[in-house]
Amino acid sequence: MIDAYRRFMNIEAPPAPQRPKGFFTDTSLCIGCKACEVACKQWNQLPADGNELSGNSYDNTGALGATTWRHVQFVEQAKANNSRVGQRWLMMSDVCKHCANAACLEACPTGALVRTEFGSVYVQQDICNGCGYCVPACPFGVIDRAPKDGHFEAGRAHKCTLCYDRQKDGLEPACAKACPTDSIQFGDIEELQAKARRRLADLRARGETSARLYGMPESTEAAEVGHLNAFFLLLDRPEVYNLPEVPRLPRKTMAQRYAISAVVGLAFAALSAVAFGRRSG
Amino acid sequence: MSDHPSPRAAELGVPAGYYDYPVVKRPVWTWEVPAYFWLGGLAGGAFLVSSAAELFGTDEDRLVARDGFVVAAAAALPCAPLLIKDLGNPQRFHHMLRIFKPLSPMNLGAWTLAAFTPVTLARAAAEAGRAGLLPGPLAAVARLLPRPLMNAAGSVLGAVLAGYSGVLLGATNIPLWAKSKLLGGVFMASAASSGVAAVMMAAARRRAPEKTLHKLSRLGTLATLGELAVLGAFLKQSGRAADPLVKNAFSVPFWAGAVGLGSLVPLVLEQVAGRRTGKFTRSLLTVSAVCSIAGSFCLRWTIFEAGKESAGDQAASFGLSRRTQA
Amino acid sequence: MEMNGYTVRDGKQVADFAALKDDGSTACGVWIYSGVFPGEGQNMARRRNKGDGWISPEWGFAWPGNRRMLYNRASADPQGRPWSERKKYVWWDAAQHKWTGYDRPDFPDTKAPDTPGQEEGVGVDAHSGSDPFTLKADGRAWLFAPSGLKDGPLPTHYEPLESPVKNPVYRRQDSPIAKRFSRKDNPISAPGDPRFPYLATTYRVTEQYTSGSMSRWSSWLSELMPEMFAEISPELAAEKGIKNRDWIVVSSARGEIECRALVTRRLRPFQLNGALIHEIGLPYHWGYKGLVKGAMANDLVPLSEEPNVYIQEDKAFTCNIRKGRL
Ligand code: SF4
Ligand code: SF4
Repeated sequence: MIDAYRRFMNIEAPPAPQRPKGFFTDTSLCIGCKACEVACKQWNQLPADGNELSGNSYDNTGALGATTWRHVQFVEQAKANNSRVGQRWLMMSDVCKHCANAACLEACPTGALVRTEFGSVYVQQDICNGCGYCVPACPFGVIDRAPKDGHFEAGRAHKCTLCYDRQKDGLEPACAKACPTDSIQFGDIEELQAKARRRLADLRARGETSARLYGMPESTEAAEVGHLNAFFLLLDRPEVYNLPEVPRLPRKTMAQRYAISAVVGLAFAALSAVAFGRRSG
Repeated sequence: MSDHPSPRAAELGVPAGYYDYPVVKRPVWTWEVPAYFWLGGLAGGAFLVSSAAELFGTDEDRLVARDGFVVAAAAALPCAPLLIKDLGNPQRFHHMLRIFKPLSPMNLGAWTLAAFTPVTLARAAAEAGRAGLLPGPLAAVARLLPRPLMNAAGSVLGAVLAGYSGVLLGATNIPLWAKSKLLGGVFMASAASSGVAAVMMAAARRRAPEKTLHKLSRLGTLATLGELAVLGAFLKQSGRAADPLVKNAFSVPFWAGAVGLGSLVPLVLEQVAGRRTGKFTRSLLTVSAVCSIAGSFCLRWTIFEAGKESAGDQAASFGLSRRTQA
Repeated sequence: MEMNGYTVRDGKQVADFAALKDDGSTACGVWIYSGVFPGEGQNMARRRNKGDGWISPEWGFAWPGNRRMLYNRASADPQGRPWSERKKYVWWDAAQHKWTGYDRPDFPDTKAPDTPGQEEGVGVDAHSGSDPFTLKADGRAWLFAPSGLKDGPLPTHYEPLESPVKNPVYRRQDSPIAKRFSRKDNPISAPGDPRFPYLATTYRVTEQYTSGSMSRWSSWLSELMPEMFAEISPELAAEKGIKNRDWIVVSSARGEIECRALVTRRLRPFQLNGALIHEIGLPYHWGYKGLVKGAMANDLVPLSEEPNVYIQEDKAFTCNIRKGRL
């Protein structure tokens, strides 16, 4: 039946799922060269976002957005008393997490956001009508809608595609290819997870006691959004890198929200019935 | 890697967060969205009240219900254009309906609106036909429309339309919208009070029977009280996330517009009107209704805009996503 | 091929630079790359040999001749034994009568440590078996350099041409033979000149390339480092009432520029002769054309030449800053 419909409508069958692929971003290796950010913009032909000095260390692009799909943070911190003791400079290349339970994908009313055969979350540009619902849904502030009056794919939602086009041709994503320190590693997600566990044990053994992995299946942040197909090794609490402690998946509370709304609605319906009841008034 | 473990943020005494960059993205929607939520809610509420009046009310009440259906249709009509105008690619509005995906409140809402609008238009047409406002053949068709069925369908759809918008905003990661689970309830209550007000306004102007007016006025009072109660609970649960609404950027339109104009003034006016009759009372109730309707827009608009502000509040975002809620 | 070198008669690649002749029978584009394509179809740069051990994990090729460390014969004593067992690197293997070790020895393979130098020998033949610095005429490293250096024979300390302090080592303040361009528009301020109490240094950031005249035309690089700035410590910022991102004017005896202040603890005031001296860091990638423009740090730098290789002294000079714009 469905097959006949597909043939009739000339709809391609979706590609068969493959072993999921993803990123392991090991921030302990990042040197802040921003090669990933530039490689991403170049491969995806994304425009620059503006030329303004932020004053926040060497980060002048600030955050991920519709036209910045890799972004390198410079967490420059020191004690407020101006002693240089414990001063540190943490670098972290941020990216769409390609969540196992992706809030953006669940929110999307048109079906433009899909899960690809590689396990990544992808915006189909020919479907997206720019309703903008994925934007506030994402707990990480990743996806954004390009301005309606802009020059770049105006009024549609954009984010990292995990280089779907490159993956189709068996290439690794541009950022991972460009990263000179292997801070960004691309590969089979389970292999990457095993690698990350080994790396964490190694760092801990060497005294980096606050190192941790963010986005592993067993970690707290996976409670709602599941494991992240782009996960991280961090050197401090997630919030230091602007990452939520337990990213929320809106779906989890949706039934309760509908129920509350329904109760109020029913109460009002009952009140109206009573108000107009023949005996009243 | 150095021999010295890097210090933690806590040891350095620096606050959490990456400079003051927001954790979540600011919603891109503009005024069309709260306007649509307001009109959609009003239409749903008015349809529900009218159906209740027709089903349970006296013959006099039914006369008022007729106007109510027309009001509902008038409010529902601009909804779809507003929703479409806000899209990044309006010419692709129909992509909303290329799949049925109730998991997405936006999709559910689009289908609901797509179903509610023709129902409420048909229901209004039926009334127009009854009132002899339609030319012959059209009136004949309008008379054939099954009114009770339309009332039932429209009431359910209208209620969903009135109630889903708060859930839609709540099912995000925007601190003000998401922190409390009551936003759907707030919007539903506001839809109810403004729906009643819209019917009452029509009724007061069209010299509806005093008795029916009193019924509407009392229902409006109850709906407004209910709205205030849910709103209070919502604000209490929201805590810091509600700062842009109650303290900062949008506090004036919120307190003066949504609460004062939208709830307190109508409550007082409806109290003053009481069981009194006469032209003055009708005027009082008309003013009360207009205030309630305007306040309902203020409520949607301020919560909507303050929510966009709260998206920039890094600490509120962290509060939303901590295991141990601060 | 051209880079690697080949025998002219048959076009065959040479194995490495030792096979190059000075009689025209071989040709080579650049001798240090000789050996990177040592034979038909071989490319050392593509090699991923995990067996290379700790000195070159999976690294394909290092010039010259795939040596990781130049003059590595110096890691062994004159008799060819490692100076330190723990740090041993290359050594003489008497049994096999050749040099061996972890790296490829940077020395004639079979020249025994006790080989005397040949008085009339050409090139390395003039060196004895215990002279590791094969590119020097006498095969030795020099602390005392009686010839060649313009400011030999021994290293010493001079202050930069401009310095906030007196030379703590000698009465002579700065290099007597550095080339100065004594002109009205290129003045040098005296040590401790109160008009220019701070040190300045210039450097690059990763995102722009040298003066920026090429990289400032790439939007992707420009957005990463969009504006000329001066890095100052929080201490100096507080002293001058300057906030992060404020406009400031940086002046030297030769000129003044305006740019943004970037306040960072990465800059630390120096304690020099008991005085606290602030330093200002200036990247030098901006100019008057490009997608991003900005003031040029070189406008502040003294024009001068170091006597041996004529590099201008832009890593240390004196300056002043004030809040505001030009
Ligand atoms: S990080 Fe945000 S944009 Fe990326 S998949 Fe998850 S929810 Fe979607
Ligand atoms: S390319 Fe690698 S090292 Fe460079 S900024 Fe990106 S993640 Fe860090």
